[in-house]
Amino acid sequence: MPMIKLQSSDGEVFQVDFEIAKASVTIKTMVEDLGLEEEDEENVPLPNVNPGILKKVIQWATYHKDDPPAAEDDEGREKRTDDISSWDADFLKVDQGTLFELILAANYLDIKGLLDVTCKTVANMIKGKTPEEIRKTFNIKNDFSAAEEDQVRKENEWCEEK
Amino acid sequence: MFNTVYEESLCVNKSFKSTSTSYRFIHTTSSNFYNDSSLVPIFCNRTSTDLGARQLASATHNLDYGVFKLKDSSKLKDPVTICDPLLSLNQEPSKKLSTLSCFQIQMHQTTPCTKYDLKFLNSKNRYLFNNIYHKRISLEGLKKVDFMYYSSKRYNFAPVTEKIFSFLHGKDILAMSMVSKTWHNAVKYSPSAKKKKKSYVTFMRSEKENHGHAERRRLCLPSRRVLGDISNIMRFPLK
Repeated sequence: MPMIKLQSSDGEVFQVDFEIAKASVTIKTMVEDLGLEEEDEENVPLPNVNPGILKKVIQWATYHKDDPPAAEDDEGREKRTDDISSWDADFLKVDQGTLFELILAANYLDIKGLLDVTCKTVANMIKGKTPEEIRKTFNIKNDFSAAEEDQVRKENEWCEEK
Repeated sequence: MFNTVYEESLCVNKSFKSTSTSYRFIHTTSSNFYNDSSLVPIFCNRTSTDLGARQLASATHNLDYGVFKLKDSSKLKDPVTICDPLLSLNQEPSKKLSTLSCFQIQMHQTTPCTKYDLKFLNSKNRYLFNNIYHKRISLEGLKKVDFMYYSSKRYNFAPVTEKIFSFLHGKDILAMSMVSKTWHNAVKYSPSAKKKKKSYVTFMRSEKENHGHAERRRLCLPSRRVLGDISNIMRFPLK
């Protein structure tokens, strides 16, 4: 079974089955462009991914290795967020910092399935909440001045619930 | 609960390379280069999009080109000294990609500045060192993260925010736009989010304008039937 060596931001090397690593379009393209062979000792450098996150990404890719290729996005269609599998839901029961890093890694490594599921998780954290509840969820400070807040409220006064 | 805001960590060496720095950082720190040092931007031959080239060009356009000079071109495949990036953009597409599309910039402090005293210069250099190189810090382990704030600090993060917006309804996007300035701008500069928000506001406006009538109509409809409002028929049995 061909193996590939992935090097994280701090130099730690992870040996992964190439079939699993191929979930990442970035890695797949890199290997093809560099012409890496099975017996090559070359590491594939991933300077934007730290070891903890890379480990999680490999864990996700290993579980989903037999999944069919993700379908292309349909721009006009309203997308669902309640179709996250129970394994993915458990996998993503992490702090917001880790979730953010996973999104970054999925975006950088171009793993559509992981990017979809992480973005759905963030969308679920926002859905149905008021601005104040969103602030509480993500620990955001309201930095609107009084005048700006009035302006924003005025723009959206038609939508205020009574 | 502490309201901790983690700023992006910035560090720099006398000789440093930045390969993933957002053009905004180059732009915002560019004014600090003036009179401080001679800077040597070196562009490497890397493929990218024309958009990347334009962003870099707009970022470097504000730099003082007089202080730029080529350091050692022999080691590089295709080094280019910035004279006027906008001029370079007018080159033929293949040349443009090979010169301006890259995002590797190397800068060296070569000549000391005699204009300021040493103390001031040191403090300014320290500021320069602390502000130029955008080094990514890991947010792993943080319980709460302002997603849009950190997203806005990353280069090429727009596809991710667009994806998050694609899973949200107009009502949620409207709420997002009222959270903070960063979130407001994230919605404002996303075409899809803006469209969803606008259609939701338009829908709500039309609903509110017809509120009274629509509500009355809705109340009437379930009990409406043939001759339902003729009270005499109801009062007397048919027998």
